[in-house]
Amino acid sequence: MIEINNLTKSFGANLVWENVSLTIDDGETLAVIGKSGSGKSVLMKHLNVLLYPDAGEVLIDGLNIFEIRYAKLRRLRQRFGVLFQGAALFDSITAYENVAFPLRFFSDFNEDEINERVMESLELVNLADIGTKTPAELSGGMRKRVGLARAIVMKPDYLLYDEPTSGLDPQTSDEINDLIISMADTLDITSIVITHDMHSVLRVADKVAFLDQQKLSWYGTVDEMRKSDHKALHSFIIASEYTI
Amino acid sequence: MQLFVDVGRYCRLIYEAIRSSTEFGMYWKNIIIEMVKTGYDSLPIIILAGFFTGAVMTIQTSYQLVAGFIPPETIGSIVSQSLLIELAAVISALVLAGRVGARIATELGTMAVSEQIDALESMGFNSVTFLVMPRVLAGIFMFPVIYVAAAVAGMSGGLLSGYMTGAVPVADFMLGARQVFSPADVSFGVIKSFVFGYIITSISCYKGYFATGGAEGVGQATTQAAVLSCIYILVADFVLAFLLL
Amino acid sequence: MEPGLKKIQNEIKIGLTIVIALLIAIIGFRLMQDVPIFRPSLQLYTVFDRVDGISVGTSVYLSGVKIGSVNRVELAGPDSVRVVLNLSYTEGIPVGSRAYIESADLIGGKRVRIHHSGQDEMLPDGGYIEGVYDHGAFAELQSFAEDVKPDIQRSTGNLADVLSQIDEILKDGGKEDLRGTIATLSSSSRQIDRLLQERSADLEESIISLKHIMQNLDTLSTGRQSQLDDILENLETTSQELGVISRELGGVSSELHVMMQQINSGEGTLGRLIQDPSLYENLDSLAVNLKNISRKMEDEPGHFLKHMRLIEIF
Repeated sequence: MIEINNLTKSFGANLVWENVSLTIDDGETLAVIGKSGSGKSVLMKHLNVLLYPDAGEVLIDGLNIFEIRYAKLRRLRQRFGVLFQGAALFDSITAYENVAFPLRFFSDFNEDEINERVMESLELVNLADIGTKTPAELSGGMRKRVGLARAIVMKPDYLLYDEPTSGLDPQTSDEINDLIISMADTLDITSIVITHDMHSVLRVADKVAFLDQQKLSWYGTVDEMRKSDHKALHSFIIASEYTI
Repeated sequence: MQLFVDVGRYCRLIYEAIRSSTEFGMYWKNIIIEMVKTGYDSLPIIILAGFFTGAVMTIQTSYQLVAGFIPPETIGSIVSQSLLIELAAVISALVLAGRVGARIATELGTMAVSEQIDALESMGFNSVTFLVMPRVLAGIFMFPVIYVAAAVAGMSGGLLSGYMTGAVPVADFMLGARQVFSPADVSFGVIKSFVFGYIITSISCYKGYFATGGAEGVGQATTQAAVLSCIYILVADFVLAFLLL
Repeated sequence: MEPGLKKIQNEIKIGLTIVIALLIAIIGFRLMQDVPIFRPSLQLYTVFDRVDGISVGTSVYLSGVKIGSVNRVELAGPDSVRVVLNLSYTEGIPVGSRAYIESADLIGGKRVRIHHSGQDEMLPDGGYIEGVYDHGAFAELQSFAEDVKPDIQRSTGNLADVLSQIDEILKDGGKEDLRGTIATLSSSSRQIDRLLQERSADLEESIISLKHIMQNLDTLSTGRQSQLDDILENLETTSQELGVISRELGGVSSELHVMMQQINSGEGTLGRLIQDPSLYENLDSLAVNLKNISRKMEDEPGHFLKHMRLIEIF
């Protein structure tokens, strides 16, 4: 369980958001929505301590993650799988090696066990046959799926998706959405999805957090969102050209 | 103001690289790969640059020393000592500031702007140890090798051009070179190459690691890395000459 | 490519690069220090009182052939320097040989020359060979040149003065004058020649008379010892007077110098002086006087010898 209490962050003089408080239960999928520049990715980077807040705390199973030492923090980070916006695959090695990368450094597996794990992950994202290709040879959707395979290969407890469907055609976006759902179901994983794609939110999310006006403007379940008369949220949804 | 921010962040980066170097064994493969890229792959251009530096120096020195009573071995002395003390280290460093420095800044810059550094961190890597330390260590280890290659290539170039143009016979060149040869000069050159290796790699890592702003930012970081490396090489050359000679 | 294989290849690349670089560095080092790369060399040490111009790398010669170089130079005491020589001469250096430091060229370069003693027993590796600091012919020449340098400088300065004076003389129409002078001189000498031929009989007689006088003197000298002593005393005074005269002559020569300058400055030229007809007349009258004197000597030698107090002997 992740508890976010009164988190405040600013870059220099620019306040990103303040007093953000949320709770993410195990197994649920939270969608964090908001306009570009509303600080969705910044919030996500606090969860695995790529950034430190100005004030507030994040408790993971009761442990304040901003207070633990770097060596321990690195183990904590391995409990998070992250799918970055551009997939962030390492250009110089093949797709297969990208997925195998964390295993080679952080597991005692031999080559066969690594191969088994990698193939299992690639099958979960329906890409069992692209191993020898380099990231440059893959399409945007395939890159995201390889990135997802790499994110789950260490069997994390939490999965963070940063704009998983941005830059993809609607059909590929749907495939990714399906993958998010299947990950949550098959791996029994807690997911946090950063997105402004309302279609994606309605497909995958259990709860929704709306960042607006430098604060957590609205927070609730998808059903509550449908009924909500929150103005800013409503106009954000309308702007997404999506009717509820 | 920006200067202090730069110095502070640079020191922090280097501190981080040193602090976490206990995981050396884990990143051994990275060091090897970087050594190949920095040292082994640079050898052809270094041998070429060194060879022509020596060749040109011999011809030009013999052109400048026209007086009949100056024995030809003087040219050998001048060329060999200049190469060992100064040129082998500085020319190779300036060439590699472009080659190695730009490569490192581009690599790390691309990784920074495409979130690959974040990806490494979120996988549980210490990105500084993983990316910066192997590159800096490879620079420090391989630059003396590069210095040796440049010095030997330069001497060969000097000998050959002296022989081919008839400016200095081989025996005279070697006699002159031997007369002024001192191991202290070589160790001075080696110290220089250590320092230059560190300067090029650490500045390029710094510029690349903190690159922002997409492809344009990477381009900027690359240019700055090469230019700053050149400037600091020349400054360090002066400081070392001042301190050690 | 198999990932494992690639990694191994990288390690091999780096290992080879470093090993080869080390090897080249060591070979280069030995090459530059003139140590034979593969063959073990003979090392000898020697002690000089001073080693000006000798440094590591200085060549060592035997009979003009380079056989090695100086490997180390270190101060062994205030007045002795230990020098280690690396030699690649396989025949060996015999016991009793000497190492000389000598000049190698004009600009002060030095080298070590080994003088072969010719003995049968050879020096062992690490053995001692006697060292001599040889100043050498060139060094002596150099020091001599140092001493005479001021003189040479002064002389060349004077020479330049004289040359310029002569030049001046020749320039101011002196050429004509000189030609005339030489012509006059040659005619004068011809006349003197003729004169001498005409009077040769008289001269012959004079010489015979003189011989006669000498014989008389010879016979006299034995009998008149005391008087001779007096004469010698007189001669001594005369020689003192001669000294005064020679000093006066020195004055004359300086006056000559002044005259040269005067000639140069145009206060009457040498040519005009010699061209003057009175010179010839003087020379002619001088010859006539000479003739008269010789005749007088013939007629009444006592008149001349009286002045030398020799008359008393007769």
